[in-house]
Amino acid sequence: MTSGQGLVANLVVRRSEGFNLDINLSIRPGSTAALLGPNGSGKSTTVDALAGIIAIDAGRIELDGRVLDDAQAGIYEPSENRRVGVVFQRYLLFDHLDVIDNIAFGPAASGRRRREARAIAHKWIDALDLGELAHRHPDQLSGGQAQRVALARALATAPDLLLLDEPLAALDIATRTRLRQTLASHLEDFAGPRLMITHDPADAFLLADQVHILEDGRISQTGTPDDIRRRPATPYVAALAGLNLLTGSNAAGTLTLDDHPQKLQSANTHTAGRVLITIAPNAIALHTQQPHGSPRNAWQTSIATIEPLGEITRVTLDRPVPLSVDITPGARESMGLIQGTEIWASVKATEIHLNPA
Amino acid sequence: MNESTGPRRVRESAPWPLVVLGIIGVALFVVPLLGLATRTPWGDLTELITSDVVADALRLSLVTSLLATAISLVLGVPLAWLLARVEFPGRNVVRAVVTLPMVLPPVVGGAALLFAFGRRGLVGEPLNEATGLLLPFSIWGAVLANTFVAMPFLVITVEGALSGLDPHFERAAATLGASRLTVFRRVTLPMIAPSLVAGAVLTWARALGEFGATVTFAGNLQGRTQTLPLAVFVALESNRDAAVAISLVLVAVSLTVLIGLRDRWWART
Repeated sequence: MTSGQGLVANLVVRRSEGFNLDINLSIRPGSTAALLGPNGSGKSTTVDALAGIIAIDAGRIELDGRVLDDAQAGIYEPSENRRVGVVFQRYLLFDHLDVIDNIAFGPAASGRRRREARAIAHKWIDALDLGELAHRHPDQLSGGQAQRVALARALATAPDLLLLDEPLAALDIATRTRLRQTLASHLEDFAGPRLMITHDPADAFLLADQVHILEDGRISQTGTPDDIRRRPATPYVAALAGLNLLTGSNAAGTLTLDDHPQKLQSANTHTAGRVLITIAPNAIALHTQQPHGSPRNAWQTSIATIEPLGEITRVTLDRPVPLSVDITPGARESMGLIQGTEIWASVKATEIHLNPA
Repeated sequence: MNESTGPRRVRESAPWPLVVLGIIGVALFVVPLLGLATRTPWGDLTELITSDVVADALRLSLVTSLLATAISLVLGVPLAWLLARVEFPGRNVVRAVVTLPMVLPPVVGGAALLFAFGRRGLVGEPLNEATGLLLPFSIWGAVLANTFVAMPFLVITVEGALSGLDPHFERAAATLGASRLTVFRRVTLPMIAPSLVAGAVLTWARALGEFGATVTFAGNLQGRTQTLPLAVFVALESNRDAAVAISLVLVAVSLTVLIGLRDRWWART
């Protein structure tokens, strides 16, 4: 662990309700980390601890070699001295100030003259293309505009760490997709370490270099978006990545599942012993009759649920193996699938991927 | 065909006992005002209001009530902040003491002020010996009496607003590098501005109408401590027409303030 550059943090926070957060984060300057987790996993607590809204109970937070919080050493820098720029989930723009004064707030609060603070704000207004909005008040902004103003306000303080708390969650779906691209390019322009807190896998996978999965106050997996997608370590991650995840053991290509009677055949014969088994939902085929030829994995089952998801239709099967299957709406139509339809499922042995457990 | 465009409104009939009692309740307030209006010498009104006694009292009332409001703002806002934000032992006792003048008979307040700040008072005696300053029977006595009675209105209004404020905005300001004092000045105060205005106006209105504490503590000297309510009281004995005229001025000022405030204060959740 090299000190001096970027964020190095070990956060331990004990909450009265018995919830404990205990995580390690290390983010280099110029890289974006995502902390991805479900509600109640400790995301807000992490934001509060890094921003200096709460003190950690144990551990240490170091930013570019400065100690922001160290429970053992009794060091605690308050928010205003941390140089941690935060884009809050609800943006929290000041309603009594117009856009330019919102952005100038940070520079002015740190002792700059009004004119100087305004000049800095103007620089960020240009950088984020907010010129037309400079004299509007926050209640006259759309969600996307408010997000850019919040980003400009955080960046105008020249922070050493940029913290984005669910930066896209307040937007509708269409805006979210469009603004994700814009946000990506703005993040590129910030030279320090960036940490994005999110519950949306799309944010994490598309914007981050490194993804940390947070579950129940612990980081359950860390890796590049590709690592995480291909080799999910927990059912939560697999579900996020849209993958089916099973556990079992492999003996020369024959898989014995932990919780289900069905045996599966994999083309992978060399990863022996305990394995994590992943199957992509689009690798599973459905048939109205027993499939011809000889797919090595085929079994009869019935449809537990069927749900249209835009361009695909998601089918779930619950016996003998619980699996999610993606089919086209056309296939659903032609096979006349509804809940309870008796059907055959098949998977090629080459589509069953194994990783050592 | 139904010509109205909005949703059809169904009139809910009010139970008659409530209507009757409600009307009697309103009459309780309206009849005295009518009594005042019928006794008003409308022809001589301008002359009465501009007489020396009334002009002195009006000027004194404005000066003392505005000074009391200013002092209440300077001392009351920090006090409200402490009550709303800092947990200290005895906070509830302090809150009770601060709001006590709202329920205490003002005469009792005036007597208490006399024992504290009078010529032989706890603080008044050493103060008089050291500086020669004597609060009773001076304009500052009237200001002190006004502040004592009126400041609680500011404190409870502002404390309520501070307690209801979303703390996330202040935290956001801190992450932008603002010290706690800067946060208070540039975020907290602007966000509670409507309540601050409402509290200040109520405080001023209460100070303007103050009688009991002023007459007990500061006395009744024309041009020095005789405010409008005191002038009314004196005039009732000697010059009824003048008393009515001054009363009318007070009613007009108070009604204007209350109607102006109705959205800000009465309609609050």
